[in-house]
Amino acid sequence: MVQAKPKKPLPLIEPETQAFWEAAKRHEFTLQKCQNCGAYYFPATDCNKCSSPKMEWVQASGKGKVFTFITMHQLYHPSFEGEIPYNVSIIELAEGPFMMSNVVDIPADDVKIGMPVEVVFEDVNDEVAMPRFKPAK
Amino acid sequence: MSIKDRYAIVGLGITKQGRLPGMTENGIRAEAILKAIADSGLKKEEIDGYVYQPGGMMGGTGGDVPRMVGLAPKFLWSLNTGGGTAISSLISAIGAIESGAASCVVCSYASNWLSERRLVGAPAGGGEVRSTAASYGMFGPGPDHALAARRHMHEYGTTSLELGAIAVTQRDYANQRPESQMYSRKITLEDHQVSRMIADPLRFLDFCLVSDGGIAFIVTSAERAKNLLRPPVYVMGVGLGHQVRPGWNKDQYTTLDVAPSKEAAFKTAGITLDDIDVAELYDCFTITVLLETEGYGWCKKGEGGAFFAAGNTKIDGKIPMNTGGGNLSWGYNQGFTPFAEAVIQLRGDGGATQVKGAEIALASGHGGTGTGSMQYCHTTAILRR
Repeated sequence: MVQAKPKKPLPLIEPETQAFWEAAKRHEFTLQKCQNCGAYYFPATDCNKCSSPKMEWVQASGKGKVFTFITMHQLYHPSFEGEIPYNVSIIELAEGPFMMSNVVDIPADDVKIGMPVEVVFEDVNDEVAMPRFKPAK
Repeated sequence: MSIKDRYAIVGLGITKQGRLPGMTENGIRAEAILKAIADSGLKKEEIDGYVYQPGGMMGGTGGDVPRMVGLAPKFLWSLNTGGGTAISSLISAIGAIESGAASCVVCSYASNWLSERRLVGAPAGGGEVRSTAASYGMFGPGPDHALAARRHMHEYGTTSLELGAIAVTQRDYANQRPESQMYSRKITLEDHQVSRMIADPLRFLDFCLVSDGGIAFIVTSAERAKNLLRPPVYVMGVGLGHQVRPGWNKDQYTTLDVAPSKEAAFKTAGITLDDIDVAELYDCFTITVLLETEGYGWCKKGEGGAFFAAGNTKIDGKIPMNTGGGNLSWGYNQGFTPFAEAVIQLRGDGGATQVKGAEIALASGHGGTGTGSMQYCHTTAILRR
């Protein structure tokens, strides 16, 4: 009996983050920006700095640095079979916010803290494109 | 009025740790609770409060147990702050008694994850998984703490070998405690260094055990605690912190939220760190113990690795720590493991790893509350005999 290959987990897309994932589908990297004081978020309801409720999703640089990372050796979900070891990183974005993602295009063991990275999108199905990061040129 | 010395732990029930085939979580919890009641000398009818950390990864067992063991609590809470729950339960119990809602509260934990062969952190079987962390291949608390270990290594030069010293020290304690799950399994630093990588930089021997087992303890007023079977263990102070800040906090990968928890507990207790004779710190992973030790100030920030490597937490060291072997080597009952060991030490029941003359113990908890990457609660209880 041939078993279907298990599907990769998908991001949880909720009303608060829907705009981010809609933009990702167009391969645009966006963050939420306070229209009052200019602080960036991923995402927030009110501005944490000035308490303004005027938050808008805006185009962001898609650049950042690796803040910390792991190299995953444990298979927690069968859909990652064949990919181990792989990288999971916390990216400190140029605009300030942190986000979890993967550094790709280089061997997991070559990732370093502080490494400059830039976003790349991977279309995983018709609905979702995952933002990942590659070493910046 | 301060709660200092006005409440006490009067009963402690601990089941066998390790593999308990054929036992359900409810059965394990029932055994722990009945042992705690027998240990205290209280009558079952006097137990009018029941606080339980639900068992199971998701489902939540434990609500049926009062009926199973013949309790009729008028105060019953399901409470979960992950590995912080033992001390959160203590705080809830004190609140219940202080408010008059209850007079004797039993708090409990039970698990049969070892027999159930659960891979902690893995999504429940079958079906589509919807989780943003999982979509990046991130699963469970171990890899999350590995992000912290990596950052601590980067900022302070901490090494895997130093984390290994934490694992080996705790295993040495467990090897002297016949009831521990790893009693007969010795490890060396070399064993730690060759244990398989789970989430680099954390290895298999940086991870806590998975256990079948349960622990229950009973909280009552200092007044009711008089003339029971065992000497009361008094609560001097408690505190919590939740690492929740607006947005992300750069420090959260190298500093746990010990500060507010410590401050509240020591303020109520009216003592200083030097007064602590024995420390039982929550130890889901080796790095957790290191971050807590730095947070409390037994060593300076960034010097935790050298502190453990020098043997400061052994029985004759600066601060004997995790003296039963902890979650890493005694048995994984989350926050109930260090809390129970603090009570054991203050009763003088520590056997070969008893800290002589231990008068004051500090127990901690640390647990996920659904707030985000490396945003764990921290809980503190200062206890005395």
